[in-house]
Amino acid sequence: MMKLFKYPIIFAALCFSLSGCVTPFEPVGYEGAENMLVIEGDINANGYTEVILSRTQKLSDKNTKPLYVKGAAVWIESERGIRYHAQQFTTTTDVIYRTNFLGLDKLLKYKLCVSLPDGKYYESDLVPVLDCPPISEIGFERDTVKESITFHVSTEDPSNKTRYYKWSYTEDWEFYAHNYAYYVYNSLTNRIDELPYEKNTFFCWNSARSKSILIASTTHLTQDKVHQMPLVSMGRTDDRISVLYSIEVTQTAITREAYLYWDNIKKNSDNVGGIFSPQPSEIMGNIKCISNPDEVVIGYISAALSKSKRFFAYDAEMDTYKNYHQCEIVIPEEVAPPISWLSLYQNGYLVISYDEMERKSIWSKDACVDCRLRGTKKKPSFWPNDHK
Amino acid sequence: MKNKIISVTVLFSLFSAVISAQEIRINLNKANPDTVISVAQRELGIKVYFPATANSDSVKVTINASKQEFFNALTSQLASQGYVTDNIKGRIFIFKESGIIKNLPADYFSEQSSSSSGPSSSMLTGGESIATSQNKIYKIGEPGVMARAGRAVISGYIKDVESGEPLAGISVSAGNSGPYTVTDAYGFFRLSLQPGSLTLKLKGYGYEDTDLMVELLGDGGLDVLLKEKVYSLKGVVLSAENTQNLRSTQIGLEKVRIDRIKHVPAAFGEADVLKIVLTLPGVKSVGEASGGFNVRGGATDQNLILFNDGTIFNPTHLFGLFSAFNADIVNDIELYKSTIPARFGGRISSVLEINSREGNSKKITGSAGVGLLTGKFHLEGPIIKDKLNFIIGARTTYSDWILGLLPENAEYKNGSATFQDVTAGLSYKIDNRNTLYLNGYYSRDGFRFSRDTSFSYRNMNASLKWRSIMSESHNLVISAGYDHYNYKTDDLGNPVNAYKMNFYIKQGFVRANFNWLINEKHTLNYGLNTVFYHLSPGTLTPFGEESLIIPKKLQTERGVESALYVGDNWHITDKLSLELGLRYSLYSALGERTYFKYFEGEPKGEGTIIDSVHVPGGKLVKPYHGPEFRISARYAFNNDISIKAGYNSMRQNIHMLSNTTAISPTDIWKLSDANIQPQSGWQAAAGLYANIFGGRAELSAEGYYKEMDHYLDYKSGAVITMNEYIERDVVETNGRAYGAEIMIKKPLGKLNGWMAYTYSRTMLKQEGSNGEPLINRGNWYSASYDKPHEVKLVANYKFTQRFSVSLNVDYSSGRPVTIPLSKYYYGNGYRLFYSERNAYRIPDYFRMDFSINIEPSHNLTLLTHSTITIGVYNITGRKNAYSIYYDTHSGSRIQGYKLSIFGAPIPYITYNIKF
Repeated sequence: MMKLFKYPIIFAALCFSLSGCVTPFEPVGYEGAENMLVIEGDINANGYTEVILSRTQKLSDKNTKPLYVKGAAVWIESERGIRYHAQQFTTTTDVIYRTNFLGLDKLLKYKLCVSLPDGKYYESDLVPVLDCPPISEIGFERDTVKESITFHVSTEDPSNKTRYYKWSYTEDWEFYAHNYAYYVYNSLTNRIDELPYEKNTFFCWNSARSKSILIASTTHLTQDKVHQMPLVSMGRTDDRISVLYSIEVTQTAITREAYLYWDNIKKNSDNVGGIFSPQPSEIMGNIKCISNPDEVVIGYISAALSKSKRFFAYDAEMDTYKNYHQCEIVIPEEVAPPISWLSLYQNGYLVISYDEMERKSIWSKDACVDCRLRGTKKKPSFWPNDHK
Repeated sequence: MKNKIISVTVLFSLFSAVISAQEIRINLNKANPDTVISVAQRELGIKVYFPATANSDSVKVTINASKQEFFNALTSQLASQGYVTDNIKGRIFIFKESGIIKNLPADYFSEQSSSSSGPSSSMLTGGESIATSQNKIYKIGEPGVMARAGRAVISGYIKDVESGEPLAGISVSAGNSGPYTVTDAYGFFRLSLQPGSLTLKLKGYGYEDTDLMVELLGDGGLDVLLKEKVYSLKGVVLSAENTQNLRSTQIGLEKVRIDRIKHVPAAFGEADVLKIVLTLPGVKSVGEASGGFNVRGGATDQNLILFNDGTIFNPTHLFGLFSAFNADIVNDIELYKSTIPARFGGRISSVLEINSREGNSKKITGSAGVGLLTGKFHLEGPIIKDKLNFIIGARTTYSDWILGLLPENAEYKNGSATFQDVTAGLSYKIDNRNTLYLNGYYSRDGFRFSRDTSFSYRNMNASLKWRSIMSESHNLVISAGYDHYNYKTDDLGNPVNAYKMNFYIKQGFVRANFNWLINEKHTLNYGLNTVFYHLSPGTLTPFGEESLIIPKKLQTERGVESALYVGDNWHITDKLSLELGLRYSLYSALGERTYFKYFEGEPKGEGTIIDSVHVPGGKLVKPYHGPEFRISARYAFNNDISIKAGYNSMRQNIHMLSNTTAISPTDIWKLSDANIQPQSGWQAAAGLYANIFGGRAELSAEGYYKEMDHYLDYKSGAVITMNEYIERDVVETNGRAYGAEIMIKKPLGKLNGWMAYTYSRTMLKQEGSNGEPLINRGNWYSASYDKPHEVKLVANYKFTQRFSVSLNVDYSSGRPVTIPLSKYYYGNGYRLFYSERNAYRIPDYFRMDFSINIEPSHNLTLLTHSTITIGVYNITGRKNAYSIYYDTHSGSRIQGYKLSIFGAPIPYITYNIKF
């Protein structure tokens, strides 16, 4: 809907000139409730449905991983009572419940059911399977004043039926270390060896998933058209736009109720604290604890046929990235007194090049040489170049 | 001359009390006035004022008397040479006697009013007199011409001797404990008294206490010109001149005069009419630079803000940084926190009346000022002398530089902010009994946040008022006017979503108020108010070729509110008085309107609609009516201690819908209709009032309990703007508030100001329909402005007439905020779970401001007077929390933050010039 201005900025200005206006704060003597069940898992009518069960955590909990709930029975149930069970998959970091690849009848309604090992039973309301139009465009827009770039998505439903949209995305990007290392130092042998191209630490990749809540409604428009909905913004020093950036956007249609639910989470999470910010408040989701109706359960289950689209953008097109780095070169042999290779290595330096004849080596800080400190060598299968 | 002799005797006895019984004799032989002055000063420690006149050098005094006899001897010596002596608080004044005026010239009014304070006794027959000095006796009325047998009514205006402006709030009493009244906004007073010789005591803030000797023969008028108090460099003992708190029956009435406002340090040095309100006990706001204020637990929309009779919907500039009133135009403010006179209605919490001045009736004067953010100018004076006066003032800002201070990449770096306001007034004195007033007000704020988004709001008010003295005991005020408030937002950033949105509220009003002094025991106040509301909750229009925004106009809301009222000020005895008021209010939304009927007892929603009703134009949608009671009583134990108690109930038909903590400029006003009931509230209060420290300070202690019903709060996830079915997104809330306020006030002296402590609580509770999710599950919770402890100090110390310092201290408990209970992982990121509303309190608030006021050219003969104020707001630089909030950084990281608005000392300097 309509965006409200962030008035506090005006006041923030009053003290930016003098001192900071917004300072980190930890409330004292305040310990919140925890241990409410959180159920996440939108039903994918044409694919795998992944369900995550977790518990709420204390705010002060420094653990950055969710408190997963293991050992539950999870299934999707159609309004005709047919069940589609999900299996628990546990990795070192995550616990998820995943169904088989399903092709659900989109004319039926479905609900998500969860039975915990302690015997409590939860289920969502029956929700319809919503279809949505395809993504018409993914693009970007540069802001030359703020020197940033924003990727956006557009879509259109000529039948004017969808009205409420939700997106998520996976982004992949390729980036370079600042210095290409042709050699590698072996601290065991105290030798400098050549580094073959296949093992280079110059080309790397990384990926991430959207964390923001990306929703839009077109009920106030004459046409069911989303024009350049912003997805993600990056500043001029962001690695993601340094070489090649790819974003795969998944679009689903949601109901009005789901929209209001997500919108409220968004308001509670992102637009808080200002002078004219709305007061935070809670909206209940569509999941109930059948065995204890008073129990608060967090989560909203939708069912949809999603649409995806991938988009690539090269540095040259984006023309925003500024390569700011401090990568000084050290030639240990020319320093007086000379520094040993080992002590350079132990101080976080890596060799870039080496002239065996003159026994002269060039070193730089590891962050400038080894891209794996900021990513991996795992190149996505769909990557359109031959870098290794 | 019998009366004069009596007065001298009285003065003498006062004087002899001052000089104690010591056996030192004073010998003067043909001493000239200068010698008398120095001897009196040296030997008796008494200041003698002897203004030089044409023949004053020829005065010779020969005295051989003891100290006790000195004054007597001096008086008789001078009397034989044609001079009179007068004693005012231990100071002796000597004036040339100018004889008795037997008859007034026909044009006495215009002549006399400007005459200097030459001593004279006046005998007036059947007319009015203008009293300017204390050492004469005024005979008023003709024997037998009385409103009532055995009673005479004395009435008149009290004005400033310099500017001729009427003075409001001056107390007029017969003796120390006799009948008492206070001048109204027009400086008018009326008192019913027993005929005979009496002393009229006039006391008013910032004016010299004046005792007038009156020989009351029958009904008559007496206009008084009062002199502004000129502070002597040496300490002068001043009595507590404002006995109003003790004498009136009103509870919870606060009056502040503009000179006080101008001495209170404020952010950016801008004398602020609304910020002073926040220094009074029982008045709170959610934080600095927030637009509204809360009176005794009431919501911000429950205050009626009247500026020259016009209702102001948004009283602030720059989102609450400044109040929208020009301090050079304002005369005084009155805040009714508890006993609200029956003539006011329409809001359930308080009435804030801001009165502008009428303007100088003698000569054209003006002022100009510059501060860090604002510049202002005002001009006033007579167009036709003593007949037609004008006053006009304007302010504007050059605050754009603030936005320029934003960090490089901030969103609003290229924004702009502007405001203007213009206030204008005309008063036309048709004759001695009839006056017309024309007032206008315009204020506008405009903001441009970026190239594409802008926002503006406007207040406009115009009113015409006729004031007439119908008879010796009856007068009326009829006013009619138009109030307007609107705001606009433009967002042109995304061509497909580009829109303009517009909201406005207009109202037309007619008020007739009659004041009837039936006898010395009863003063009746009665009248009729009617307001027509016309409100457009929102018009959304697409902007540009590409925009797909659906043009939408929400149904216009119309309503009419009428009220009849009668109030009796019943002076039972000198000790006991009562104020009884009854107001009957009728309200209905008016057609044309289409609305839904919902199933009773169920949450209002699409699913519970049972009918759609269309009301044709001009017909009533749904009438609401009911009585409002305004009762208060006072009992005075003696001249220094009184107690009061009161009860009042109120109704309110217009609501502000907001989902923000502070007043936000985009808040929507909504009229009561078939689905939204009027708000109502009542308050019971009691207080103790005393003069302490020999009458130099006033102590007041008040306690109250208050309940509010049908106050509208929004539901979780409510959409406030452009919502056709707003009744589905709001929920009725009940509130209760209680508290105690203690204030010590020293109105005058070198050190003046007040200190107040308040303990108060405000709790709210939602009343929903079946199965509706309610805030805190329908339990009581603290309101956002529930700050239990508050200490406020406003102090001014005058070192000299040219140099004074002011200190302002504000401490309060932190306000409640809603902070998350826990976090959870959802949608690839951490989210926050909020539970109990307002369960946590932000850290306590403390702020100290300091200012130095310098008046380099304090000489009455100079053409211009300038003042410089240098000050520091928040001198300790404490980073007071405005709010505490959590940001999830789009789900990646959760961090709590404290937002401070003025997180550092803010120095300022302002320069004002009067001419």
